[in-house]
Amino acid sequence: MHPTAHAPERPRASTAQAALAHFIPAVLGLGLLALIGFVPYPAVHDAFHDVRHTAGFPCH
Amino acid sequence: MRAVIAAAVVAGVPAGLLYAAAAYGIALPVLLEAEVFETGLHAAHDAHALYVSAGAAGAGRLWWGLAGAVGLGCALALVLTPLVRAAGHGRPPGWRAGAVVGALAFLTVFLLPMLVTRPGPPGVENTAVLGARQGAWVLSLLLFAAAWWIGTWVRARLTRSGRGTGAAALGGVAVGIAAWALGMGLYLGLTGYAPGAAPGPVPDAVAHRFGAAMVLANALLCAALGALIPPALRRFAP
Repeated sequence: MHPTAHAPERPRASTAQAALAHFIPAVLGLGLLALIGFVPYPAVHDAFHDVRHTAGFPCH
Repeated sequence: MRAVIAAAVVAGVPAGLLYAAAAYGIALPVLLEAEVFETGLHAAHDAHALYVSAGAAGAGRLWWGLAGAVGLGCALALVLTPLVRAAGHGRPPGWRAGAVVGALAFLTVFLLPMLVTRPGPPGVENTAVLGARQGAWVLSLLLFAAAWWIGTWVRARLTRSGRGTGAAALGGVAVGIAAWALGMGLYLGLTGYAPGAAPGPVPDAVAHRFGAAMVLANALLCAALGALIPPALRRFAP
């Protein structure tokens, strides 16, 4: 009787790792959104002025 | 995590480029038209150093606008891609998941905040101060998240009590909308926050055309993200 061949199991990410894989990109996205839409420094405001108005972010 | 970020960037960059095309083609001409009226309003105000002159769009302004549009596309994609992936519950996301998330993004990030911040083109002064409007924008987002949670809870309760799927979903949506409106109403009532366009030199017709251009460009961005995120996830994070 031949032993049943088992395919090697792929390591499963832990629940915490899976949560981080979703959480960290979202935090990066929110940070980038804050930079483009909300940071009040004049140079940043001027650089992204048109996008802020078009996207409806409060501008000035 | 790298796969999710890669999928987000692969979806966000072309969506941002499309947004830039829509913004330059539809919104920028109206924005420049409004700025002609703004020139007199902000004579000593910051001269928007990267601009060439009112009525003109210099290279620096266009490049930064492009960078901002692509950055906005990537920023939203970074937030939405994990949501689309989670909505699949382990299965590859289909076009429906992308469509729903794109529609929700348009509602949450653009439409609802516009109701409470009343944005306008340059030259249209707002009756509410900038800080209050930015706070209202963030509050709208947080209230939406809370309303989503409440609506989901209501839908689950209605389903368990024997209501049909459609009725339960409608009930959840109605309660969620009511929760958002109640929270925002409390904020308006308690703080006296009252945004709106102050009388100024920009004609109403220009302001209205800019509003329509905003809605169209932002809807295109969200539609593009909804269309591009699922295939990007299937390619990079199956």
